[in-house]
Amino acid sequence: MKTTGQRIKTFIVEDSPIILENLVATLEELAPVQVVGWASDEATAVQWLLKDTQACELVIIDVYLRSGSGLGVLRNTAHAGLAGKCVVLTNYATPDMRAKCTSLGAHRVFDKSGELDELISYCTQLSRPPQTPAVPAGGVHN
Amino acid sequence: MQVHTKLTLATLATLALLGACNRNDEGRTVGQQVDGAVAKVENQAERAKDATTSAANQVGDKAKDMGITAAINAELARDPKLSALSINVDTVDGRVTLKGTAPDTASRDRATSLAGAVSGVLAVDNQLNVTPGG
Repeated sequence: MKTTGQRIKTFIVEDSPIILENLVATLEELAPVQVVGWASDEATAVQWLLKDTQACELVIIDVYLRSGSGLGVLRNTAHAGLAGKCVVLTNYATPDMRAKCTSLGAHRVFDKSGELDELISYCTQLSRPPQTPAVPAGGVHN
Repeated sequence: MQVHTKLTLATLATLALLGACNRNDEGRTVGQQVDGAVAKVENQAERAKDATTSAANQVGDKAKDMGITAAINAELARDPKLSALSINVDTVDGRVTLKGTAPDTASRDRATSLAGAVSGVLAVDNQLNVTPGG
């Protein structure tokens, strides 16, 4: 991706440096994202996200973390009015896990091994603001 | 007369009792004093040890953060495009903030994973700006 400009500011919550490296490289190459931050545990991620709720447009969350979990990140930021959409990227994208993540506010759930393409097209879609449908009502004001 | 004797006896008995108590008390007090002193010294030693440990931990944390910063700077210097000179690395409790410039978007994003791969790093806040040729 050589285009500059409308890259979507993305924050990644992922405990493995190796997956982080690959994910960042893949996204950088194929999707219009700019990785503005990364955290390896729930507490740090929540702290970063709540510090400036407008700081990023996309949050990619792994479920199993160094400490805490991606579900905790979702739970603790759900009502903070984050500008960014939260999506979950996990190796355990079972129907139960998908339902759980969605109920906690995840916009989408992607399987780490099989749905990276979907994540990339999701990012591409996000970067085209005019086509994005209006956000469902129920904006939360804190 | 009888009343008087009784009173005297009672007084004597009381005095004797008090004396016994006193002696007992004194005996215990010495023991207690020793015990107390020992406990106090032990307490103080324990507290001193705690203070030392916490001070050492703080120094250790600082040193750890400095080590992380140094390691990231070394990684940046080794990178063909990123420059340790144009990037300011700040580490607090394993949380890294990158400020400065990167020559292109790929390098900017690479800085995140490069810093994240350094052992002990918990989070990276990438505030790098892309400045071609910078």
